[in-house]
Amino acid sequence: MKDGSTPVKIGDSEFDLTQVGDWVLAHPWLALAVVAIAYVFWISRKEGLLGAGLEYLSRKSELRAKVESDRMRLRETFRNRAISDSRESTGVHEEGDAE
Amino acid sequence: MMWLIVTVVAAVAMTLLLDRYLRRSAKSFMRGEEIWSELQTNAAQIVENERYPLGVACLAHALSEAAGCGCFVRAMLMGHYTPKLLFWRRQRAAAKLQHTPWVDDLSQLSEAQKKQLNTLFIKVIIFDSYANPLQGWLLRRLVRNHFAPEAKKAVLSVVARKLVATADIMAAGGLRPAT
Repeated sequence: MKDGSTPVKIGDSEFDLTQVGDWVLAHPWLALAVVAIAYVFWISRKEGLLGAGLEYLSRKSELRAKVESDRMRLRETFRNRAISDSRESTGVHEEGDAE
Repeated sequence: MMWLIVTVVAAVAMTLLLDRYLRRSAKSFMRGEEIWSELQTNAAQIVENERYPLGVACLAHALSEAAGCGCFVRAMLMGHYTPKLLFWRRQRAAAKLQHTPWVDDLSQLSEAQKKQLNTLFIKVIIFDSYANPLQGWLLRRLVRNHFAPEAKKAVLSVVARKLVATADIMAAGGLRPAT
């Protein structure tokens, strides 16, 4: 091995870690792509980040859907209430006029 | 080589933080659903009940529409982080209330009705805190101190006092019109 090398021995085989570093520095985008692919495999585990993200999105959309449907119902209730109140007040007004 | 190590460590740290945020947020939304059901029941009772004036029904309806926007949580947090609000805006808020259309309606309510409206208001803030996980978590953490044991309370009593004062201002806006 030449000077400045970092030999790594795995079992019987041996390789130079410095060469790996040199290759990464020479091809940073390729290295990032390798890391990204490994990362995607890692996050695609059930308990991984992807699972957490999907759960987050589903819970959020569930909550939004529930809130929106309940709000629609309350809007309808309020509209009916406002109409009935305005009719009542108009009725009282007319009676007052008649008197 | 150093930048590579730093990048990898930063990426792993970000991943862990994001994972924690997503999981906690999902739980927060689940809790929010439960609170929303209670909130909606409460709001519907007020809107349907003819004994409540229309102005109060309108207020309950508006609170239901606005819940979850994050404005309630941010208002509480702002009240904590900007002390000016506590001393300066109190009078302005009270003065503004004079011109709101439902102030007269509020004064006609019985104690039980006021209590129900107050419950709705509190539930709106709680729901808002669960619908906005990060800010809501911060708010709940600060408010929880108010109910914490004395030793813990002493440490953060200033924070708690400010928040309780802010809540008091907001409750006053809803229930005690300025005279």
